[in-house]
Amino acid sequence: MSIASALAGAGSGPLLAAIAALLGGSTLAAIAPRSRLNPRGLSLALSAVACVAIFVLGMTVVTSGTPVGARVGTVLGFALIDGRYDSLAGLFLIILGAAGAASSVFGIGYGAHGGSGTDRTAAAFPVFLASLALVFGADDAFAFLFAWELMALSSALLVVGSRPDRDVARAGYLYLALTHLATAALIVAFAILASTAGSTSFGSFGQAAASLPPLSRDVVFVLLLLGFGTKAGAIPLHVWLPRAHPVAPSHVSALMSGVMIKAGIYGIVRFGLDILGAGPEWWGLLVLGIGVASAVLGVLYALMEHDLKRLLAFHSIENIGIILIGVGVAILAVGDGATALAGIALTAALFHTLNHALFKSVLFLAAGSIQAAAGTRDLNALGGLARAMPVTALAFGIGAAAISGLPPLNGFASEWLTFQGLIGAGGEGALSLIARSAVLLAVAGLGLTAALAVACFVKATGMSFLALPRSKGAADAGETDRTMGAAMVSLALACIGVGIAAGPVSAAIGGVAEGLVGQQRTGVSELGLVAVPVVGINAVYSAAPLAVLLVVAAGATWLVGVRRRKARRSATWTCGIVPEPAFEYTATSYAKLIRLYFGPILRPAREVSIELHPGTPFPRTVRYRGQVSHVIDERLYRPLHRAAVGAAELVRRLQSGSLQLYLAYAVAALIALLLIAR
Amino acid sequence: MTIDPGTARELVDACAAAIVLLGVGLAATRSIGRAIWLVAIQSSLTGVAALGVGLATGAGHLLIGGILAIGVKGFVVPLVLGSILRRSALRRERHPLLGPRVSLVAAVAIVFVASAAANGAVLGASVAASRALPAAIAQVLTGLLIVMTRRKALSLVVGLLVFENGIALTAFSLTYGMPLVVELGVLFDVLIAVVVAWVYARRMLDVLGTTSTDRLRSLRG
Amino acid sequence: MIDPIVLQRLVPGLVQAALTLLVAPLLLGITKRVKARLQYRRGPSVFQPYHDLAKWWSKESVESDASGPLTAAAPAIVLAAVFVATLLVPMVGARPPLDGWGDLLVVVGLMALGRFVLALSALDAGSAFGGMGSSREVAIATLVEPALLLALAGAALAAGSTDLGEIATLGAASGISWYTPALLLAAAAFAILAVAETGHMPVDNPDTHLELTMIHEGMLLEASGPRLAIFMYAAQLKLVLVAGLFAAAFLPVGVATSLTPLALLIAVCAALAKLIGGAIILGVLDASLAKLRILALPGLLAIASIVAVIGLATRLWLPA
Repeated sequence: MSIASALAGAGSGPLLAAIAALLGGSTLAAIAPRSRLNPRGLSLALSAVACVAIFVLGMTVVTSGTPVGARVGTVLGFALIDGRYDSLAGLFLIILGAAGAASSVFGIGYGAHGGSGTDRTAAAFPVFLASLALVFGADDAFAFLFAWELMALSSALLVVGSRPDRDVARAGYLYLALTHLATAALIVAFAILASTAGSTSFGSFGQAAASLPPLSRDVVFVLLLLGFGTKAGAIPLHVWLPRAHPVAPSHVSALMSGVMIKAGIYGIVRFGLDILGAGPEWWGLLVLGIGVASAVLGVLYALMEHDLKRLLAFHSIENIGIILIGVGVAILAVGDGATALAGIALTAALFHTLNHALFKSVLFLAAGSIQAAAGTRDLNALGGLARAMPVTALAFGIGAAAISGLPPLNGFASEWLTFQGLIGAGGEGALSLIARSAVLLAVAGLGLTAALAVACFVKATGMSFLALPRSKGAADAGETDRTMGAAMVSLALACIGVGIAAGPVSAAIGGVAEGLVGQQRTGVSELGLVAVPVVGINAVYSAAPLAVLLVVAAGATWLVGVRRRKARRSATWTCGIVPEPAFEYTATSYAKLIRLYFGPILRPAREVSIELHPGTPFPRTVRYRGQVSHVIDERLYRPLHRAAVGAAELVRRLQSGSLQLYLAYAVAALIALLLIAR
Repeated sequence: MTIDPGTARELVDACAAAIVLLGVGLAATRSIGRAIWLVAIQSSLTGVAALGVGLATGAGHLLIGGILAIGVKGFVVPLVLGSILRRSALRRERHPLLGPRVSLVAAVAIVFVASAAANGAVLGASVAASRALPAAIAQVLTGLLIVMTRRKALSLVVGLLVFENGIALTAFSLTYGMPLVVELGVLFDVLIAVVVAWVYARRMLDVLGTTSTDRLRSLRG
Repeated sequence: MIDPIVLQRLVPGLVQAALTLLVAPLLLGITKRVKARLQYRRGPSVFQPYHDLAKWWSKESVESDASGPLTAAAPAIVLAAVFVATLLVPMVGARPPLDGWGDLLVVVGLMALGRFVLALSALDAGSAFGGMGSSREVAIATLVEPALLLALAGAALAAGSTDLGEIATLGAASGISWYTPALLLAAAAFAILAVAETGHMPVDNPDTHLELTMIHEGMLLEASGPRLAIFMYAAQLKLVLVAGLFAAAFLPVGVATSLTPLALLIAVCAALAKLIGGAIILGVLDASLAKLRILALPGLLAIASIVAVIGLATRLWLPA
């Protein structure tokens, strides 16, 4: 604590300077010509150190509670970097630092394996890190938008790489288009606020927002939700996420899923709760609805995927949904004045943000490791990797257990808090009946999400690592190198650690939440985590003792029942036939029952064609083609696309190809303008 | 060195009259070579008028602007255009959208319209006021007319130059001219436009064998 | 001497732990006996499951040569998860043995942990039967969990907390006024779901020998020897857990709120009565219902969900 205060007292100037220097050095190193020093490795190492420094800065701000300011560069009267890192920003800096350090370390080994790391766009990586750090601390609308754009462009560059094929190019294009739509919404919202406030600093936006008429506040809220929701990947603005995340290199995907989409969450929390303050109930209900839809649809589509990275990308949508559920309850509670409830819900959301960054990064890094080793991301072609890649298997397994919300890991702790927030809201007298009913239905939604997540990750883990390999690539796989392993293991240990230390961690995050909504009701009992949704009656989850007891019980059982008797190995029973990998369940078949149960939403389509041996009724080949259509793509984007193209066709009639006619159009417009302006 | 405002006003009037005549001539001519000569003289006269006003009022930027106008628009650009013209076989506008007689009538009509428009305009206390404004508006409209009715690429550039002369004239007949930054910017724009036209015209000659723009019909979505 | 408060916590807890560990196989025996009698058979002795466990324990363990390290670790984790979960549910005393360690959400989470590891280990042998059982188990769980949480939320809202000790204490103290229509609806929903959770008719047939109709048994197909004994025992403990959870949330009569020997005796008898009653009901269901087609399960579980939702709506919109 004293180190933190000392650092904060020193103004953190040296720390910020160090971060800037390291990131700058990293950028330069990446574009340096190839010499005997590995330029990319050096660049990533510098980035890793910079991320550690960012992590330290974040910890300083959160533990000491004093905000840190930085103001750099005044160009044309606007400050280019105008930062104020308060405890909320500090929390996001912690997330950035942890995930960024692990991703950078992973990237060192990943590039050496030839995993698309040889191009010059590697210089965009430290720029991406820098832009994220700037976004979290921006205190002025221009500085924020500058950092936001930088973040979008650098990540797009990283996604697309330097020689993209057609699909990758389209994914990047879609990503850029949607992110710019989001930025447009944000600009309009900021313009409304700035025109009332008379200045572009976020500090003045708070008072301006209070003085806006209710309709304007509603419009600003919806615009901000549109803008930040797109970045976060909430349904229905998520379409870029499953296309962009899988094609990026794995360490970039980890950072994008782990940190960049959290910038959207940061925006919603900062603006929805901090700057806009209390609003009508439908704000919170809208966010809650989006959260539940994202959570359920995200994991449902994830289950239907057999590309491992696309599965993980859809899962990010699900977790954003869970975070938005917490944020929605917080906004609802703040709007109705129930600050204790808001504190718990916000703590839950922020805690889940941290946890998701940790376990999603592990999973993406492990997926990259699998891809590098086995040469494929297709779950239907993997298998049996647990013996060949034990480190990756263990890291992925822990990440999978964490993301499925299993105690005593970190995912469970934040989901527990979210449930407490929801059930507490159901009983909260200050909320309207409609809100309370909605919140309780959200309990069912969250429960459905949790169960589907378990199914999804049993599938992913089982198909990748267990039983026999289903293809030659999987059979030939070997463990990845040490930097990649180190990065994965450290994140997995962090998942376990945060899970066991759930009490102190959530108390710290509760402090952050308290700063925003005025009260927190989580605490640290002598054993673990306490939530107090209703006055006077505690619900307690003591993670550490439970973990210890689980380990002891499992260990004792194992020693007594398993260890002492060596098992004999023999062939699997397959009704007397020699077992082979083709008898195993595939990812597609594993998800079949859920595909049928949720058929009305998923609308699966399939096509089976059987070719017979000529002249006999015996099949020679059977071809199966299955497909799940994505309801948002089909019902929302395709009609919009058709309408836009139709409108463009109509306008096309104005184009004759003649230069003179176009000039005549310009003149006519000029004359019209002059007449109007008179 | 300064000249007194009265002299300056007479100088500007004379230039304005000449500019109007040149504009009518530009609208009527079919020969591209002649058009380039006419626009060169017109640009130089615009520059001279600017110089006159500058000497009378002591505004330094008008002096610089005037010299630049004479140099760039009066000499450099016509030389460049001439060089393109020499490479091209056809020196005349064969099939303009409006024939020379109709263009002549249109140009004269434009002069009347401009005078009427200028009468309603509020004139500031500028030494170059009153008679330069109708000329300026007329050149703007004439330039647009040329651009809209000609097919050859070089004619379009000529029309652009006439238009630009009109703008510059408008600027210092209403006020003390444009700020130097803007003036320089506009001149630079013109230069770039001409360079682009030069490159384009050469390419057109190589590929199509003609600089007629009605072969360029694919500019559509 | 020992601090009396610690004693108050410790004694009922130990009694409960001993009771549940000893009685679990007996409940399975009772279920089978009831089913047999209803089918006009004599049926095995109620103590048969104990003999079965001993038999499996003494046999050799054979594992598939396609499996990896998970197959050895899985039984221990599954049993530990269920065991710790039973210690979080108050069955004898009004407060659970591990009071302050977790609430009903933690219990549900531990059940999910057990399911996760079991489903994974079923895939490890590389057989189609394991895959079948595993995919069905997780699919049915997706239908069960939302409704389960809604039903338990009903009980939590009645008591004002998700802590099971609080719920049981308040329930025992409130007497007849605890049983509001909303709570009864939630209890009905939970009862339907309990059948699914414990793997009895009409959701799963615990006695089937057809691999194609197995869900739970399908996942255990490749286990043998002590590992199979551990898995089966874990399933028996799960029945105790689910019945105990039902009793704590919806039927908390007879729990010991004080430390007198009489209260403890009443509590033990009440707990036994509830557990045995649950076993008998499951036996009756096993004998009288046919297993539902797997694609017809959403219909049944939707009924449970709707009942739970109506219960919550009643609580919110029509407070008694």
